[in-house]
Amino acid sequence: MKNLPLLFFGIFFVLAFSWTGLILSSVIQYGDLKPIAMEEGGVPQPQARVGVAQQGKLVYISQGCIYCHSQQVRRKGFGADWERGWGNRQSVPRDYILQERVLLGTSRTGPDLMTIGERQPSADWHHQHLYNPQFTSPGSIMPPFRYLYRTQKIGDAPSPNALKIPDTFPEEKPEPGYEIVPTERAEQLVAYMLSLKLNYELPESRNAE
Amino acid sequence: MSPFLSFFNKIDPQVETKPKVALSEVDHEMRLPVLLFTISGILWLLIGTFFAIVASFKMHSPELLANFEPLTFGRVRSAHLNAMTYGWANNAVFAVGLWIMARLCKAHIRYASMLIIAGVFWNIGVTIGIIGILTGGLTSVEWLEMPPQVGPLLAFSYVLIGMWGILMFRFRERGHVYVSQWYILGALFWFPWLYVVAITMIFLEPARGTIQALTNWWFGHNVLGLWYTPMGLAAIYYLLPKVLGRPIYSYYLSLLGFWSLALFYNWAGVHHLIGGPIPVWLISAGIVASVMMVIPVVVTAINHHMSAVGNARAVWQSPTLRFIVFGAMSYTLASFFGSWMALRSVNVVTHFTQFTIGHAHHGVYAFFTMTMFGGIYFMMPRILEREWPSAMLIKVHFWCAAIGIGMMLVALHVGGWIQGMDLNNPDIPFFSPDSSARTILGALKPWLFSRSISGILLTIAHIAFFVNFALMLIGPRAVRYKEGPTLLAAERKGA
Amino acid sequence: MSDSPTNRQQLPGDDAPYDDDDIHIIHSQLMREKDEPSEGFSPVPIVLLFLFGGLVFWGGVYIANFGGKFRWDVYDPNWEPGMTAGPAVKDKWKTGERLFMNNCKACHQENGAGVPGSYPPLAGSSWVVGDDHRIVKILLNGLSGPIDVEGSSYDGAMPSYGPSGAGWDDFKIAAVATWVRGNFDNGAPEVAEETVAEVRAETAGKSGAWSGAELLDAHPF
Repeated sequence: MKNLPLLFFGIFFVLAFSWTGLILSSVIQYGDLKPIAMEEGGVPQPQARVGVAQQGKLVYISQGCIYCHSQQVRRKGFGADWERGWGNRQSVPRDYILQERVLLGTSRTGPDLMTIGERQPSADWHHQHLYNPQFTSPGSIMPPFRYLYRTQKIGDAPSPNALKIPDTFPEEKPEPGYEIVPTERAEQLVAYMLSLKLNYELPESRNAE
Repeated sequence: MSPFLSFFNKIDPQVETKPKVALSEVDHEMRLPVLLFTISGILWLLIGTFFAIVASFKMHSPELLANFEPLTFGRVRSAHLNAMTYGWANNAVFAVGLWIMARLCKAHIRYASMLIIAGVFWNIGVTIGIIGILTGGLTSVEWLEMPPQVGPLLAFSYVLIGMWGILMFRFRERGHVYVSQWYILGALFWFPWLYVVAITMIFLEPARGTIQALTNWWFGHNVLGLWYTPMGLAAIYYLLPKVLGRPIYSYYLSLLGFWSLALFYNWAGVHHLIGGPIPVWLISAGIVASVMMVIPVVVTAINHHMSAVGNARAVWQSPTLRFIVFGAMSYTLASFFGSWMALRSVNVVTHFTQFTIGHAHHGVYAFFTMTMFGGIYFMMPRILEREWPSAMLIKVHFWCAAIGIGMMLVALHVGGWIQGMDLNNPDIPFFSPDSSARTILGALKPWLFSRSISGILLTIAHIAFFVNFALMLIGPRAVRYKEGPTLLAAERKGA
Repeated sequence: MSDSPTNRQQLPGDDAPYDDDDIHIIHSQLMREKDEPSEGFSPVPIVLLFLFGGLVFWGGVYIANFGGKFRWDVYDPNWEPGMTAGPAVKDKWKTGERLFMNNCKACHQENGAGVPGSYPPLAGSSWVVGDDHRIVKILLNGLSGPIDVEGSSYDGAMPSYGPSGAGWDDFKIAAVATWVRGNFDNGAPEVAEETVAEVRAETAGKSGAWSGAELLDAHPF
């Protein structure tokens, strides 16, 4: 090739073209979505996640949960998301606008977690499952997160949040006089799990059905 | 003349003023930067392999190293990906790609110190990044897992390398610009841009909602499409005719292949979000672009095939060509798979499964890494003025890598397909207390296990490569030029 | 593999006359470094151009058909203008079954028999049938502490599916309660959405889960 201006311009143009077409056009088209209420005076949705649950999201990020769990619901008829009860509607861009880090995920080695707070609202269950997934989910290949828990000597009375180890796992029971309790990070992560819900409608979510 | 054109005339001097520079001089002057990049690349390859093995075994044996937080699955998987891409693959690209650029420019090397500085900073950045991932700085943004704080360091190194490439080109010997140079110039320009935009729009000024995911995959897919692929193709376009001593079949096909790749690959990344919360027109555009990738792939395949056809003996004999041809064939196959996987009816099965993981290894390992191995086998004897000490180790490297990656691809594609069919059948649970019940994970585990076995083969391959390279580097000087090139099939005297 | 030795600064035989071996080696190395690559000019096969033309045409048709008219709020490739989902058909029985299978089955088991010692049965349980306010209260706020079910005792925690837990609406609570009461040969009548709304209003100030005794006081078997 001898036409260098063409080569340089073309190299510049192709990337500018895709960036404009995919990203800039998205920013223009739906980059300023706001929470919206379905009826006059209703609560605008989605709502920002705050406090302990938001802290838990940081734990979720630093543990790399996204590499096995997605957070998106596909429309009824495309995959089995609806049949598996992962959500009653497709998730749409507005559902994610208040999240500083969007964790759609591209792997479902485990189930989708977009609505896990609706499907499994029991904090005890989540703690047992995190400590050793085999307690609640025999046959799971999820790694145990025992390091998010600590063993401590029982004080005057057993802690209310002490982990209930099933009798079928005697080897996981702490020494007599000791108990296993969640660390702050485990509490945060479970709070985040319980906050994951898709229990509201949006105007455009109907186009997705 | 407009200032615009005069700028290009500066880059493309019409008057020949420099004396001819011999290739061996180029090689000699490139020795230090190339060695720096190659050595660090191979070390990262070993580190990445270690992480890969840990991650792979953890997938079927979750209790393995389970109580050591830095090696939890999510982190060790990310450490593997980043050590391999930013550590191994990028260092290999810098070594092989820049060396080919320098040879094709046939000019004295200026500012080699720029490369040394970039290389040192680059590897410091990647080291900090990997440690960051393992100790909790993981960002959970795919292909950008390293803590964003290392971003400026890496971007700085990239820019230095890109500038060096342009300077090299500026002082080249006048004449026809060969196809490898188009690809290298393009890649050197594209990657820093992609990286800076992605870092900015995801970490510094996060784009709103799912536009972030869109940016993420525009970047993630283009790492392969506009960085590794052009560099890999540049290496094939250089080495195939070079070793065979035949011209590339058709300039027109090269031209068509280059521009169609540049145009379509860009848009294809959206296929990672099919079915997701993204307007459907963007997804359809991504699907069309992915299918259009058939054009550059067919063109490139024909061009390579027609250039090599009838030289099976030479291909088999040359360590370089064995790897290069394996890589070129994998490129064609992986790309066809990629186009096919982008179709909605196929994607609804393969998305979210190990099939995608298999496809990623098809592209990055079977095509790109094998091509880089070939490039290093060709380059190092010229850089070091020594021969590869052991043909046997090269054979071990080739066969373990070829069989290992073949096995991994079969395991992940078949296992992933089954996983996808199961996922779409709501009657099949992920797991069940009843061990005889059909479950998604139960059906997947044997395939994950075979993937680990294939990982062991790849580990053997990489160790063989490393040992051969280390012996070449520090072994007795007797191997130097005594016996001619190290070939893999008995043809040379006394082999 | 190596360069042509004539171009290297240091040749193996520079300061000594070449012997036969050296000449052979140098010669083979000269032979080895082939020309720098160049390109031939074979034409592009015409059939390829037709193939590519066809592909580009297909791409255009695909975008036109499945492009959602380039609207940001369309996510279904088969969407047509004017197509909005009608009012959702609310089938209490089907919704109830789906909710049970996805949310309750893990503990209470598919056949409703529970797990002896851990999770109480729903099949044939007096807690489930009879006064429907009892089951609605359990669903809305959860139930924890010791209870006695059909002669066996349990001490667990049933999570809340109401405002303090999963946040289900009246319809979902009514649906799953209806299904549990009507399935497993329980044969109890359905639960109306209005009943759930009523209980929800009544217990709005309630925080935390119910205890078994509390519920039995209010709604004896």
